[in-house]
Amino acid sequence: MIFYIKLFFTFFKLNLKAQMEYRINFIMSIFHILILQLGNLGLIWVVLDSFQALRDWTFGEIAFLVGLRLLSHGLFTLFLPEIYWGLSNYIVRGEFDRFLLKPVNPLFLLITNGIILSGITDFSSGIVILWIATKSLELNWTFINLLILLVVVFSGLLIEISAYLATSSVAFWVTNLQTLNFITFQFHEQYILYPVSIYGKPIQYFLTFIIPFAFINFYPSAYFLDKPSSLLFHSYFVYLTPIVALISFGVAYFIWKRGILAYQSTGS
Amino acid sequence: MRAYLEICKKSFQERMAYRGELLIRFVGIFMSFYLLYMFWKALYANSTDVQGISFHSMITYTIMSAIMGGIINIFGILNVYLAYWMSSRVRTGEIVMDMMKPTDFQLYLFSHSFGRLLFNVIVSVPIFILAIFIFKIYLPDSLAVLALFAVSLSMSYLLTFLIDFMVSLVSFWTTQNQGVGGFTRLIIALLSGAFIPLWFFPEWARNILSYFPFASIYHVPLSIYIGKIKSIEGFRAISLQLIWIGALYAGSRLLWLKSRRKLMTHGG
Amino acid sequence: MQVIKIDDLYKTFKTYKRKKGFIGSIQTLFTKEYITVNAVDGVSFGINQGEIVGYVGPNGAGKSTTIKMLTGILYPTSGVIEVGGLVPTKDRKQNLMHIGVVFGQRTQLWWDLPLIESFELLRHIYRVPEKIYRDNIALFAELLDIDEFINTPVRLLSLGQRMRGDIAASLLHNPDILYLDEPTIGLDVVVKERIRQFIKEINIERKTTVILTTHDLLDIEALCNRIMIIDHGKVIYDGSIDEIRRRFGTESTLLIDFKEPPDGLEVDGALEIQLEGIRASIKFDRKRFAASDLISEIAGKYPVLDLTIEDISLNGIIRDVYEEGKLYESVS
Repeated sequence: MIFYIKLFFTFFKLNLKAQMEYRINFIMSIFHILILQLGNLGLIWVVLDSFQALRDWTFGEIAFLVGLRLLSHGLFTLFLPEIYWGLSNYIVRGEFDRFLLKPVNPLFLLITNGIILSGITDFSSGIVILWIATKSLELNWTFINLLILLVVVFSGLLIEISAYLATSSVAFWVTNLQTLNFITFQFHEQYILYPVSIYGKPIQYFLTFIIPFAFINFYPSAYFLDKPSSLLFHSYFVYLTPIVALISFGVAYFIWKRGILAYQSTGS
Repeated sequence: MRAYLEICKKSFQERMAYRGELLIRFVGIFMSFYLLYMFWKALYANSTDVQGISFHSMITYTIMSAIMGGIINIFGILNVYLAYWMSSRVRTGEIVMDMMKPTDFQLYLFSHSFGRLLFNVIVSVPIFILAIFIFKIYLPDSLAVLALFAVSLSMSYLLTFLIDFMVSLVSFWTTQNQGVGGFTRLIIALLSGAFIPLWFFPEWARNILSYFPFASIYHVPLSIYIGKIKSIEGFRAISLQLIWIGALYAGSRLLWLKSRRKLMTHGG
Repeated sequence: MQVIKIDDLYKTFKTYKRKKGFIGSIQTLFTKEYITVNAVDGVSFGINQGEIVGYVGPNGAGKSTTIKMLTGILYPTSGVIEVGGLVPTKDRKQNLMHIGVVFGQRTQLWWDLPLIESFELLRHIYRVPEKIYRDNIALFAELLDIDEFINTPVRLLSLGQRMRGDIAASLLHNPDILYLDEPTIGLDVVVKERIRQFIKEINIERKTTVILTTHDLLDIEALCNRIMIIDHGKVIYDGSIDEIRRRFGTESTLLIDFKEPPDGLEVDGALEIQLEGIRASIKFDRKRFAASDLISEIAGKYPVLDLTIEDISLNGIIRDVYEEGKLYESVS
């Protein structure tokens, strides 16, 4: 375990140095993300100025939703982008061998293979947006709630990891199904920017039980903001977030393991 | 002229080779349509008419905006393709080959872009028809309005091309310029009315935006389509588009001359 | 001592016709029309510690499939593989600790970073003790001159430098076995020679077992005492290079320049004679005629200016072996 932690930081340092070779692009991406996140929030503010509420969600509440998603997503982009951007490409291009040629857990090798530094910007804008939400809603953060927030963010991270790991792993069996990746991406990148209660029932069920993105921000927000009326199932679902995260990771890891096994018996 | 037609044909054929990706595009587009539909439906849950716009008109506006984006975003949604292409050609020195051809470089790129445009238009037809049935978007009141829309849309395309062209010339100064391309597109997306119509923006913001060409890209043609801008007003808006095209064309020629001089004196 | 033991190894691939597009890929998920291909078809061999073995064969013969099974990337369909007493797929990590792998076409180095950074990382991955690591870096600096470019980002290295870096990287943890897949591909003659010298050196110094696949048979001639030829998944030759030469490379060519064009050149025992002006090339079978006899016979009849003897190259022999199935004939 200590071996892996030390190795993780060695990898992280190397990735950092490699990214710094492209400084201008990095600086551009900071601005890009900052303006993207705050600009999108600005647009939501603009429409809600005319409409007052998105069904029964006010501007501050939506900001909370968006900020929460950005916190876990920032961590994902920073530390683990390869799960989404790399994995299926490596498999399709027949370059997955490299992860099986080192005496280290292949998933570990995969996740340490790249970082995207601009994840820091995602994370920071998440904090800023959450702060905006706090101001606009006049929230009081109790110690317990901060603790729950911490658990929720890491659970959200785990849910995101699991979703992308599972969909990318499909490439072990079928190499031309990148559409699946894309669908997962759209749900995560666009759909959960708004309360999932605005969608039809099938999508609500899908985002709760199949790819449980609703647990990243929707159920937790409902808990923190005390919004039982718009809840799909129950306000106590927030307590399920870590459990859902663990279960999804278990399932995703299982699929990944089976995928490697399939790869090892068929090659590619 | 013949040469430009050939380039145009080639780039159309090149797009055809990627028609396998169309499925991803269709899935992505209809997922966005559904999201837009549900988003506006939730906003209109409490009101029937906001700023004189009915839900029906709003859906038509927003879905037509997405279809339009699919047509005029020639070089990918993030516009990285052209910037990337140009920077790699500058880096390898192949740009000299392009400049030595007995064609005008800007027209050469335009023909390239136009071939892609034709492909995009063809692809958009089934999307448009499906959207009419699924999301009940409507056709303009009269053929005259439709014709006016078509003219205005062509202007939008020219504007987008000129902006893309100018952005890609940044390659002559730095090869790490993919960020610039994406950044421009982001600003356009936020401020042109592509997502949220400009009439929802606060007065001061609209005043500032009137000094920029952004509204001419999405807001004008879409407003004409849904009938928000009528007859004389429509002609005036189109004249403004024309003025912007003239200004950007002059700007792009100037920038091009400067870039070429830079390349010729410093060797890229 | 045998470090690699392979017994009756099979690898069967089931492939199916991949259909195009989304619908097609869904179809292929459910309808399974398999075509089976025996990539490795009943292979058995053993390799002793310290051997350098050339593993050759045309593309798709099963070379890399065998290597992949030895490194634990692929499961065998049936048969036994043991590497240093371990089963590669079962004890994957332990096996990997004891082997080094270089794929000539792919690099394991960090593209954007100086070479030394990749080495540092590998030191952590393989838990190489500080002293061994430093000694190795010093050794590679001496033998491969890697110190000249160790602080340069890998993307700026020449192909030869990158390959030297890759080979050094694969040896940092003192592996017992080194798998080299096309280590000299695309390199110029000087670098190739350098790399061969280095491999030889390591092999002698450390008793590292080396398994080498290559298309450049000069690599094999320079390095290997043993060669295995594989085709259609079967080992069709396994033995020394001298042996293969003796058995199949018996055809030699005598090149003679005469003082003046000879009239009606006739040589007893020649398989084929070509005459162009004053230059003649005469093919003969060395098993049946000694070159010296042939030369004295010719020199007795015609005035000779200059002569050389050319053996058929190993390349030519091997090409014959797998193109014409010469070997099957001579075995049966």
